[in-house]
Amino acid sequence: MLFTLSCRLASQLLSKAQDTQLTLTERAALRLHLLICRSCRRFNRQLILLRQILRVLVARARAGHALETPLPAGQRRQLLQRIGRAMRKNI
Amino acid sequence: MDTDPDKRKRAEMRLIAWADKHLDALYGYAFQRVRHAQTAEDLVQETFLAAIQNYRKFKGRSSEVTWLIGILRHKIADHFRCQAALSGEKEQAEEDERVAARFNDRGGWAPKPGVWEGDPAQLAEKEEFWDTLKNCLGALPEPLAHAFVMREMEEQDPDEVCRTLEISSSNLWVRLHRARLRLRDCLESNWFVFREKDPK
Repeated sequence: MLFTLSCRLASQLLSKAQDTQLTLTERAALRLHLLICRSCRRFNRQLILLRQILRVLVARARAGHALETPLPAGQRRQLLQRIGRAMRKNI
Repeated sequence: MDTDPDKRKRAEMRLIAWADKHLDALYGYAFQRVRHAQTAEDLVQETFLAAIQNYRKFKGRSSEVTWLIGILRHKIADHFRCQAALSGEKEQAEEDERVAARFNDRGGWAPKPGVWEGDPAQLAEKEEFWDTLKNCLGALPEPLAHAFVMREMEEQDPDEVCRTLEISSSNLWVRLHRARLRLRDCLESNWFVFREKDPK
């Protein structure tokens, strides 16, 4: 199995490696595959980049800095009124 | 419960002003994750209600908006938990085919991944990039999106995601792999220029 790792399988392992520790066999197979496969090396870098970007975006959103306001003014006003009504019942 | 109508009115005004101040951050956060306006609105409303009921627990250790987002995150997890019970295995076969079509019959990339250029911090600054990413996330089927959002945008442990969605870890790996492949393809065709005509 070591030498027959396809890109499809390699991409599964690379994705899994973002979430959990791979087994020794999986790591060895993957390392060999990456040595000879430029496309999978790229894919791996893309996964890493994607996660890094999301980390920045998430940290920002969690601190309350929404990057944009997806709420159109009308919808926003209605929502605020609705929340106001709901809160009124609860104070 | 206050019986003095003036006092009560003032309290209401204060609450509404308070909701107004935090509305965009909360709604934006919820919408990015649940990808559905009505659901996002409901979650935000529930968050404010829970917040006024539990305001005593707010210790000021974090900023108010961070505290509110903390409450919202619980509401989002609850929402995913309920949704998980509803989602079936119907799309499974279709997704299998989709992944298979992404590779050739020997399991090689077809087409091959291109070169992505860009610094994560700079990309995250760009509103157009964020729009592209949002659209790509929006195009994911629900089961994939939920797994991806919980893992990457709620930064939960895989075990936690499995418990919330009530799926096995191997099912989670499959979903995340599919989600990432789709996002990769979507970002590559809509943002990153495929720079190289690969000779083979």
